[in-house]
Amino acid sequence: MAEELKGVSIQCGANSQVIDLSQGETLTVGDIRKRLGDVLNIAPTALAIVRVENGEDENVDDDRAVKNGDTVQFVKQSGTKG
Amino acid sequence: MNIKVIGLGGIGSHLMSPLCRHIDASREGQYSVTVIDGDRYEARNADRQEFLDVGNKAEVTAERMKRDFPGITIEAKPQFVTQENIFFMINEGDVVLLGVDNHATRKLVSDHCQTLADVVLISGGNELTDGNVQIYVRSKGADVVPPITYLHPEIERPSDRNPAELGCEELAQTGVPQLIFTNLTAAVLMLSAFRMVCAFLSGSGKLVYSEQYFDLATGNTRAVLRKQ
Repeated sequence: MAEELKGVSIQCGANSQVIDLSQGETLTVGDIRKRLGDVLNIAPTALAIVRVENGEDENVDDDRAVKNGDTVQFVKQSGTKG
Repeated sequence: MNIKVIGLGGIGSHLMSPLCRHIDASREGQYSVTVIDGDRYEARNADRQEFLDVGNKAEVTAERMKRDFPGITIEAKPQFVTQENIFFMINEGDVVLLGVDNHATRKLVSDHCQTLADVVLISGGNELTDGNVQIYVRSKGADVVPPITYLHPEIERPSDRNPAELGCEELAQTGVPQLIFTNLTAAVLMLSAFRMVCAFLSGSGKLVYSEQYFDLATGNTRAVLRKQ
């Protein structure tokens, strides 16, 4: 059985982090981009997607607020070389 | 099944042997493999590309594969894919393994595949220690998963150029540091995607992801199924 996510899951490329907002902190997608930009190598122009309750992915702007249980995916650019 | 391998550098040169070994051993259906690349293997490529002779990459690779796997039909096309020749390079029903080093060619191939009714495109790319594999499947005139340009503006609006448009001097300058292990990982994940897609097409498996990321610096991989 899948364990319930305790926090906001942030994904970029192969990597991910969880931020716990249970202390009442409010956070937007733009805040996450700034806070985890270096850690997850999030490009300033990376598209952001939030998985909403029906399981669908929704493209969102940086002012979108997130809450515990959300999954935010920053779409990492495809590798150029081969 | 007609398999087209486009780009025989760091990724493409490594996936050829296991690909041919796999289809040679599978004994299921008829396979032909066409290798396509206008570039040349040179001594400076030996640090991370698999080849035994210098010369055009498609011709050198085809010769090696014909020798190692005489039961497989293998053809070489020693050209870069361009707007002018893509109609001859990729046809209905093809499975395309794309391991090129520029987004301009990815965009060109993706756009052409979207005009076909039945086609599979598996594209791999990498930076120094990370990369991704993208899968596009089109069946009976409809997208099973979105094209590789979906959510990827760097491919939809490429800032680089097709190698066919570059002069020799420019081509020589396009090289950036790469790691053989990163190329190998991209090649393995492309082959794994190929196996999954073959199972899907034969009705014996599901398409469980359409993009896979990997990062050798953290040891992580992550697969996602894109929906448009």
